[in-house]
Amino acid sequence: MVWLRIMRTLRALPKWQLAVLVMFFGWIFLTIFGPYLAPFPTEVAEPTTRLLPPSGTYPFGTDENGIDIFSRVLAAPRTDVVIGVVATALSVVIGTPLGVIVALYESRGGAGSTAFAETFMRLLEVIQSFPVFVFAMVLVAVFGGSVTNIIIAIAFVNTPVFVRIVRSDVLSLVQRPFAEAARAVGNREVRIGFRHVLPNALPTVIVQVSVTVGFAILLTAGLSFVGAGVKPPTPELGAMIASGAKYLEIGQWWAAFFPGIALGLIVFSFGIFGEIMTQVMEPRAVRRETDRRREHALETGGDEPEVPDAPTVTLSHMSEPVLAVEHLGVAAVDSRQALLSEIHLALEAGHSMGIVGESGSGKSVLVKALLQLLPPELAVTSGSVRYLDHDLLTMNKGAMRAMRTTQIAAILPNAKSQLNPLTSVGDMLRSALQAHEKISAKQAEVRSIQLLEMVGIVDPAQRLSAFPHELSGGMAQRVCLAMALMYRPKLLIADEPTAGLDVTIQRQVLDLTRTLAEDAGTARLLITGDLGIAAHYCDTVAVMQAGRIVEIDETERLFDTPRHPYTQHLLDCVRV
Amino acid sequence: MALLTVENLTKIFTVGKDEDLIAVNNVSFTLERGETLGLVGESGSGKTTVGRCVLRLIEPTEGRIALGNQEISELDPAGLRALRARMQLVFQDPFGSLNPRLTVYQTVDEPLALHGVGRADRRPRVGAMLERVGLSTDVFNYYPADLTASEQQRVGIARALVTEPEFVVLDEPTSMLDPSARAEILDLLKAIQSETETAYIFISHDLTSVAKISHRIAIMYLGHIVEHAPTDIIMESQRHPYSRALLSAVLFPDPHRRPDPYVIEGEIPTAINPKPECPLYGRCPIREDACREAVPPLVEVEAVHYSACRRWDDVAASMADARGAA
Ligand SMILES: Nc1ncnc2c1ncn2[C@@H]1O[C@H](COP(=O)(O)OP(=O)(O)OP(=O)(O)O)[C@@H](O)[C@H]1O
Ligand code: SF4
Ligand SMILES: [Mg+2]
Repeated sequence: MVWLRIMRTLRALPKWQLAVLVMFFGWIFLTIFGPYLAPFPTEVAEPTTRLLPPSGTYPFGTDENGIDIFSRVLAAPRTDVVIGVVATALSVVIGTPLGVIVALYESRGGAGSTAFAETFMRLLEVIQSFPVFVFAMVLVAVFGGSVTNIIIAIAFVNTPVFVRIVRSDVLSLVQRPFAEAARAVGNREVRIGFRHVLPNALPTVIVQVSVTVGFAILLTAGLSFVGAGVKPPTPELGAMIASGAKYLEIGQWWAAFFPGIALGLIVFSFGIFGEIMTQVMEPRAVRRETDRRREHALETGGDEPEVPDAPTVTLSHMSEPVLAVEHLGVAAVDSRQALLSEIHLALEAGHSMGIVGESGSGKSVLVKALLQLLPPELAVTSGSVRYLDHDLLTMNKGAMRAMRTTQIAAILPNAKSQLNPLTSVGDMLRSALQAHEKISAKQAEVRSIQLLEMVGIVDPAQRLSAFPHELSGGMAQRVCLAMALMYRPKLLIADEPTAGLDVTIQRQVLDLTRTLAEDAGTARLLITGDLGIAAHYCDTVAVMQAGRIVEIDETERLFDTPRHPYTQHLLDCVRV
Repeated sequence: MALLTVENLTKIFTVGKDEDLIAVNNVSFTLERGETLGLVGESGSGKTTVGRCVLRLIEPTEGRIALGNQEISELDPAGLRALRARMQLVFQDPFGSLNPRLTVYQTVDEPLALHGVGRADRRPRVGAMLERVGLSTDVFNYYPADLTASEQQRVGIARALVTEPEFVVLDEPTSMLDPSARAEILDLLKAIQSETETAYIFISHDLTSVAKISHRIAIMYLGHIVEHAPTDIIMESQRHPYSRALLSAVLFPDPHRRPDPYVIEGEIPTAINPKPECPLYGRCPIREDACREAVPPLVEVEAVHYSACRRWDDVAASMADARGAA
């Protein structure tokens, strides 16, 4: 399972990340075997070969002690990487459980635990607000520059980082339903924290680990650079850069250059490695066979060979339709998966048609195709969409946009999220009105108030100054309705207009939509997963399954004598 | 004796600057073995809070909760944890309520492990439970993200039922599912109940689902139970204006069953610092001055039919008139 996941992730990686991954393992290899691979001794001074430029024998040149820099670069990761990794591991081992415990304590609520957590976090802030480098220097200065002390110093300054990120992740994860579920089956709080919540916080920890390892290596090099870290002649990149830096000015660049490049590449490859690891850890990575089968079904437009052809019913004496859709097909651009195929619809003035089907059947793709709002990865592959005399598929974007507000109105699900959160209701209505008519701000305000009145908002003059987040779901939906019906459009396309609203509010909004639309002679296309809405608010109903319309009929006839097995199945599911 | 007794349950949340939000206001009910009580109401009416308080996942402010002769409301944390094997919860969000990093098997195995069932005894029980909810052996090692919503909810149900609890709170277990998945899950829950006699508290705002599974229905408004009766009675005849409006708004998937035109205007007010009056007072079409003197108690107005409306008989009369006219 794990291997499968790793292989999948690797295959999905961009080429350059794969290259970095190879380099990462290169550094790990050098950390283990580097010192044995060095062609020259790495710590023995050789006065006869001081500061030679790069050549065949010394590819990176030699340093001030006459030692081969290439050999020292091969051997140095042992020091730098080990110190960085061990110090980081220490910070993780101490910081992670502390973070979990603080978060659990904090989320328990109550004055005492909040005070404790606050004090603790303040303390961490104090530690973190010290200049890390100076702090580490002081520690090393006081306790001496042994490798152990360097590790302790680096671990100490990095521990608060892990406490913080684990704490904040755990605090948000314990709010999630699965943590409550763990409590409901009888887990202790501590076990919820460590067994259920912490594993879900690990991806963040791993990213942080890779960043911190890089940082710790830099810190090691930095300490050595100022002489507070690893002492020469031990091969160590920071000390090598420090000793080489002196010769930069006089043109002997190689002594600092090659260790510098090596240091940069090490830090970089650790960072990328962390990113790749989080992708491997993502539990979603393994997709299930049936999922792919289901996708395949969509792709091929449904695998229902046993299903008879869609019973097409000639609807009684259709007059000139407002909207006529023929042979419409939509597919994904890259994979050519068909998402809609052979869609036929015709909608008369003043009538309402419901489109029902389960999630994923293509209802919303249809809406987007009709409104020219398909995302770039989807495209119309066949057919036509006519609105009165206009061909909506070939119409240019500007004309379409003008059409969308004045003649074809759309209401999309979850109205609240579509209202601009930073604009008041009044400004929204006013700018919409002024975009289409030459009217003064005063006139626009009067009209806005009338519009809000029309959709049944109490105290409309006051509501003009309200912002979307101050509206209830029902009110937000009414505001959207006011915007949609502002110009008595000939066609209203509503995609799940009442999803998420309570039944009594849903009823008010649907009744209002019907009354207003009938007044204005607006034809309605109502997309819904709720057969109850279709039964009571639509004249005809089309049933969609896997991107096709499998049955379309007058509402009563469809509910009384469904012909397609899928329609029968849907009705069986909802009958009381 | 009733399996579960809830008496005068109240939950007050402190919000903002020391304001009291009364999420559940003096609610009482009982539940028998093998029975389902439907708890219906609009968003914010307090359904979820009742469910969580009964399980003591949140601490009730006041009230008595007893499972058989075990007082749940007085247990210490250890006693409560032990009792969790006997009372369980199924969540609304099928995916969100499963730990993304535990496999199907691990998820259902954990409750048994926590309640002291040995490894050897667990294996067959977990397998049998997963099979009972209709999951085949090949999904046992899948992670939640690899399952469909319907399968995820089956895992949630298996996790809740594996310890053979005496009652389960089902908090909108079908509201995030498509109609066919919804029907499957309701059928499954009913079938399990008839085999095991598990009692359910079924929380939902979808009256058609509630009516399918519940023996009795309690209707909540603003933290109060305003009406309470056996399902067939309350679906036919309501004795509270709010319940009547709520039922009128239900759109049955049948074009011949025209919705009752009865509506209550306006929206649900806030539950912060409510006045001691009938919760519907501000919106009620038939209110009178006496309705603001106190919260009308829930009383048995007809046999096994409880209403908290002082004018329940006028509601009955106007319903009869409306029927006569139709
Ligand atoms: N932790 C909390 N802190 C403060 N207020 C809360 C908290 N939990 C719930 N409430 C409030 O309590 C009231 C009842 O909420 P509850 O979630 O029980 O309603 P519900 O009937 O389950 O609604 P829904 O149908 O939306 O799930 C609401 O006003 C809600 O805002
Ligand atoms: S008690 Fe009074 S206000 Fe409350 S629902 Fe009955 S009539 Fe209306
Ligand atoms: Mg709820």
